[in-house]
Amino acid sequence: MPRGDDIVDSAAPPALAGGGRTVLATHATFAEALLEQAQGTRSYVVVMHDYEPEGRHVVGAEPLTVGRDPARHIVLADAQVSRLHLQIAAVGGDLVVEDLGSSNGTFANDGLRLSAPLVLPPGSGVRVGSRLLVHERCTARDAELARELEKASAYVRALLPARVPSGPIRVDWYFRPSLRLGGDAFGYFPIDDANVAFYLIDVSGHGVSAAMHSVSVVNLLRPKALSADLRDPAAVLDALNEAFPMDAHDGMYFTIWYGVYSAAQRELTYSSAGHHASRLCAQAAASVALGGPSPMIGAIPGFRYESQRCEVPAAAILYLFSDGVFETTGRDGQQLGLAEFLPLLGAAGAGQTGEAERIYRAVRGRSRPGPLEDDFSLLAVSFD
Amino acid sequence: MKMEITERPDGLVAIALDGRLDTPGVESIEPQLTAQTVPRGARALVDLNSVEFVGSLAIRMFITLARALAKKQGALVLHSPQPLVRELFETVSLERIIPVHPDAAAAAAAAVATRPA
Repeated sequence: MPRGDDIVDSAAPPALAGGGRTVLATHATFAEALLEQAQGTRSYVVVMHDYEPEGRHVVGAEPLTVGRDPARHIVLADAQVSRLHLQIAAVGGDLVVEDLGSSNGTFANDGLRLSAPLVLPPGSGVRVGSRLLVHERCTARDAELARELEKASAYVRALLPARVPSGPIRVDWYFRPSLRLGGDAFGYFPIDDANVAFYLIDVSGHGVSAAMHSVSVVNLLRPKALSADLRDPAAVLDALNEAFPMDAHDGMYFTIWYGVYSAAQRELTYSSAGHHASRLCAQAAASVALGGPSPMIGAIPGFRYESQRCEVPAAAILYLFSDGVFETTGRDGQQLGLAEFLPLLGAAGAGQTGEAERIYRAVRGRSRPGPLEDDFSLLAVSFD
Repeated sequence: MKMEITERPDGLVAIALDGRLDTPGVESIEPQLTAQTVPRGARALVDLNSVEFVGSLAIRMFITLARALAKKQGALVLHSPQPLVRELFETVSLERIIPVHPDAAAAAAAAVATRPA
């Protein structure tokens, strides 16, 4: 998970190896930032792990060392990385990477192991163990904005509920924000002793504004926060539609699927607003679509949503997901959709802990390399 | 994202889009699309035949554009969506807000029908 404190100014050299101490230089002061701005762009090494930024390090006059040893400028906690693995120096507008005799090697974009110093133009990278080190050339202000986006992403993650691995209702989920940070959020909460609510929302667009919008919706979807009976999905959507008109929220709208499970009746009551159907999988049966066409929240003032009901069979699994889960680009460039995604639901291992992540890996495996285009949000609710 | 805007003899404005209407796609056309249609209250036909993907930001752009045009006595009509795009339009009930037609002729007829008396 990206953390703000991973982003350090590594221009100052750390303490020498053996000193047992790493000096993290303080971030640039305001005056320094202004000076940097006046001087233009700087080179940063962005450490990527599984398509997510882990840290951002400015490359100054002194080369940066990279390795597993805590005394390095960039420390990678990876068994495939040597204690002193490589060094990176700024030369003009490029970076030059030199492997320092590592055990497992440093690899260029073409997969070849480095046998001599390699020039890294902006936008290119090298692979070290499970990490990708990417050369990013930007202004200090852009780097700060990227850092803020990463912090916003971490905040959205912090709002997501804990998984429930055991009990009569088990909840597993997987969330992976896109690099631009989308507006997905989801949650579940007991309404009273007899009813549990589940929901997933997807705000239009990307970036901090979409994330802020989704956070404000999540904060309303709590007991006593919304002026509607939370056991009544249509009433909840009506209230949200009244609270979040597009015209009053910079044209932003969101889609939502909201359901309430009543354990005594084994019944699910649900409604959706512009959101594709959630899916209910029962053993040895194809999944059932829950939800039909309806306008997004905020699009049509005064629209009245309708609730529907269904019985929940024994050992059923309910899947809620965002469109980023199935709207991906395939390895040969074709657009993938719901038809390609649905067979992944209810497959082997369904209902077990880690299923949501397995589905993510399967989607990743069939999509073109690189980060997914949109947030990936998938909630799997398993019933006894 | 490519966009071609042409004035038709019947006064309608034909807008042909080609590419993906994802976030970068929308950002690349929205200012020009708005500038060329809203100030003059155009009755605009948007051809989606060559658009393979429509994201949430594009839906937002179309709704915002449709409302801005309606305020100027203009209109926005979409036509010829590909199957996956049509599926999305149905999911979000877009036709309750913006007319969507299977071809250009039907879209033109609908746009002409919005002509102010």
